[in-house]
Amino acid sequence: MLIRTRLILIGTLPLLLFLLFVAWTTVVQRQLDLLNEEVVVADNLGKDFFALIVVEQDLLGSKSDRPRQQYLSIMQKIELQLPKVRETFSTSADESELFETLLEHFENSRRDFQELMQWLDLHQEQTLNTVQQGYRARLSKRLHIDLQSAIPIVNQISMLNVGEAAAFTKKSAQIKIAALLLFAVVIILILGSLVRVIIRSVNQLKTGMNQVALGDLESRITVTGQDEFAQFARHFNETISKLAAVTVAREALSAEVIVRKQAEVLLRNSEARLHTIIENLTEGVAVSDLDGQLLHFNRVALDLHGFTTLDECRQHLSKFADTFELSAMDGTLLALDQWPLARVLRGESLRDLEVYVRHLQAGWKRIYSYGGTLVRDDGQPLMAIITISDITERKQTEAKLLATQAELQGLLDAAKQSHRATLSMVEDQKRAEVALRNSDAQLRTIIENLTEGVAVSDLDGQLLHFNRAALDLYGFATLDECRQHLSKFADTFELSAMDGTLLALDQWPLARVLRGESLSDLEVHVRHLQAGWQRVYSYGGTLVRDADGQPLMAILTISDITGRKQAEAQLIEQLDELRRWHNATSGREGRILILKHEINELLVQAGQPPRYSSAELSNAE
Amino acid sequence: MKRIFLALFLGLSIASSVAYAVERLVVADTPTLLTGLVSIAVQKGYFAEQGLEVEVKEFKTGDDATRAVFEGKADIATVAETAFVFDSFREKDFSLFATIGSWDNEVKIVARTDRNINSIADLRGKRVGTHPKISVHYFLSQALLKHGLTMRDITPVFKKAGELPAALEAGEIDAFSLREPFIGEATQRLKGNVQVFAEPGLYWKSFSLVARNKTLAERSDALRRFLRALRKAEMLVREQPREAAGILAAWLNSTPDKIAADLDQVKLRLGLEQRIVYVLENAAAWAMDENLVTAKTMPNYLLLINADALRAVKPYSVTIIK
Repeated sequence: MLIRTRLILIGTLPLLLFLLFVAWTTVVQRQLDLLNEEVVVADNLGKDFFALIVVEQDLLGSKSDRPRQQYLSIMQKIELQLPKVRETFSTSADESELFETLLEHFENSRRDFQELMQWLDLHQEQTLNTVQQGYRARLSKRLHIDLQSAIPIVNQISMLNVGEAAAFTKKSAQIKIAALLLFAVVIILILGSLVRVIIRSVNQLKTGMNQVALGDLESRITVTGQDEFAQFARHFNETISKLAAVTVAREALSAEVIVRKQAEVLLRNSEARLHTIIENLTEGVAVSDLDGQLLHFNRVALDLHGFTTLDECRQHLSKFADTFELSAMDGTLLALDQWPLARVLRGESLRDLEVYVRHLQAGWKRIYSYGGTLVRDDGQPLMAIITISDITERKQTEAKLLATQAELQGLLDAAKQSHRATLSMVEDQKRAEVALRNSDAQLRTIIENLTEGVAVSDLDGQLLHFNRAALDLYGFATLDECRQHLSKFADTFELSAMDGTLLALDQWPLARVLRGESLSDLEVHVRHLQAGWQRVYSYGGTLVRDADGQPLMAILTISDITGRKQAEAQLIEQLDELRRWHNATSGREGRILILKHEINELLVQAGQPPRYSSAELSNAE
Repeated sequence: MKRIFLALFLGLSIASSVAYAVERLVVADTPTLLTGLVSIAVQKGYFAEQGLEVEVKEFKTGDDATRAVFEGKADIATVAETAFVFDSFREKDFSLFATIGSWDNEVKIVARTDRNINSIADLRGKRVGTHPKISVHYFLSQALLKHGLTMRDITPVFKKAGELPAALEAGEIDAFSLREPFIGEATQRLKGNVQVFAEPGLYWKSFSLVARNKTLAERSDALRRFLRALRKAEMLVREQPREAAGILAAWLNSTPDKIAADLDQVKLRLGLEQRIVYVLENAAAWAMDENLVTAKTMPNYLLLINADALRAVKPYSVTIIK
């Protein structure tokens, strides 16, 4: 039952009780009135019978008809009342029985009266003998007794009603008290029930809320019944369920945020590391969006282009035409759409594209080797990345070498073949160097795709990362194989200086970088103890520092210069051979030169141009 | 709650069985319609219900019945007031404690039709038989008085009631004053050649219960149970008159119709009315007037009426003023 219903019931009960009390009082009063009426009727009847007795005394003594008329009149009065009296005294078996007895007396008295009157009329004129007098006396006495006997009956009826009224009044009072007690008990029971329900419900709610307050969102309030508390408990449970769901979702969200933040931190760290790596690369790296808007130049790229800040380079490709002029190696001026970045933006992948770059304002001209590609995500191009290497010196060296070879070629037929071989070696070296500068378009794969090996270590010498080239250089198949402490590498590799001196572990390139040295072109013999191979690697390296200058990690670049060194060695050997051959032939050549010089002088003297320019150059030297 | 009710029921059952330990009562009864309540209570087992073992000994007259009480052969006697009155002149240690039936037209005068008796007044000089010192004798006296005669104006022939019908048939008497079943017997004997004279209201005859005072004092509980059984019989007569008539007809060797017709007039009712005193006093006066008793003073009948038992059972029926 609802609390509201109970309260309404409690509120209504007094009114109901009042109405019942009024109704009951009315019934009781009605009953008392009836009983009183019966008492009155009985009393009146008794008075009438008493009046008959009084009149009956005069019946024999009086010679007038008045007593007889009075008697008849009273009897008529009684007779007229009898139906009502009968009705009045029919309410109980006792009364009814008494009334029958009374009626019997009344009938007897009427009969006796009539007999008496008849007898008196019959003997009115006679002188009564003793027998007649005796009978008249007996007849009168009989009548008297009839009437006299009726009086206690009437009185008994009256007493019966008085008794009934008293008993009824007493019973009514008892009923009233019982009803009040019953009402009080009912009220107490209902109130008790209500209070018990309320206390129990409040306790349940309190317990449930305490549980929730303690963080137990799984706890539920036991729901019983359909009252307001049950509804409240049900709503509370639903709310807690929703809250639990929200909390779980929030916790999941928080966990996800934490994970994302961690991932973001890791990503940022990773990006920072990658950025640092890119910034520390000896190769220039430039990044552009797909519209040709330059976004980033690493430090080397800035240096290569003569920029001092990133802002200077962050402009559209077309703007670069105001500053730079690019031409092919054959001297052909490159239109903007033929610039390496423009070609990459069109989807080409470039590798070792050698281009003359001239700074229009600064006036310098250098040869840069470009690589580049579009960085894609799920096949969709995201940006363009360009790698730039300054190969000016190498190209100059190559040019010089080629000039020397050409000069020698003209002088030494025998050396032609050797010279061609030398050229071939130079080409090999060139290709090897080009191979070393492979770069990848994607930011993350830049390092991976560098032909130069890159290894990253923490400050304790724990190797963290090898790019693909580094893995290949050291003969590792997976990253896990290389992720070990530097000291562990001594079990696999043996390093020695170019003069053959075995390097202790603390003299290894990474160990030196970890101690704070910056290495560049440190050439080292590397021997794989298990595989048996031996190569010459060129190491570079430095500590990567954060914005505050605190070292974060060590980065090592590794290039396999075995081929180059071999070519150089061969070249040196061939040059030495040429030099020896030159020395051996230099007398004849000198004489020839002198002869050529003398011829040239003669020709000049003759007013003709010198014939042997080489002889003039040689003298100049 | 059921257990409580069961316990109460068992307790009450045990209590009632203790309260109604079987008690024996011997009733000296005069078989007449006016003592019908006793017969009905016996037949219906109402005495047994009250824990009473009632033995009814039948007597021809109330005088015989009270004698059985005084001789200790019975505890209770059913008597008409005349027998009680005559006893009252001899005995003091007994009381009337309830009226169980009354009829103001029970006793009648039956005359042979061949004796030229056309009214009670014609009985002058006739031989009129009756059972002496009982109600029929008293009625005869009252009837004669009504018609200006006395017992001295007739030739009374006193015989036992049972002998009078044969005497009437034999012509030994001209008429007699009796009640049923003797009236019916005489009618049969004389094949209807009888004249029956009734005087309704002349004599309010009642049958009452009497017992010795010792019995009333010491066995009041048994007497109250006895009255309760009679009260139940009274209710049967009021509520089931045909059944009561059937029972009484079988008992009185009559027919239910006749009994039912008589029950219209007969009042089988427990009570103690004021008029019993008058009737007793009248009867006593008659007995003294007729020199039927030697006593010269009338007993105080109020002292010979004990209403305690009836007042306990049917209080409102006690209208006697003491």
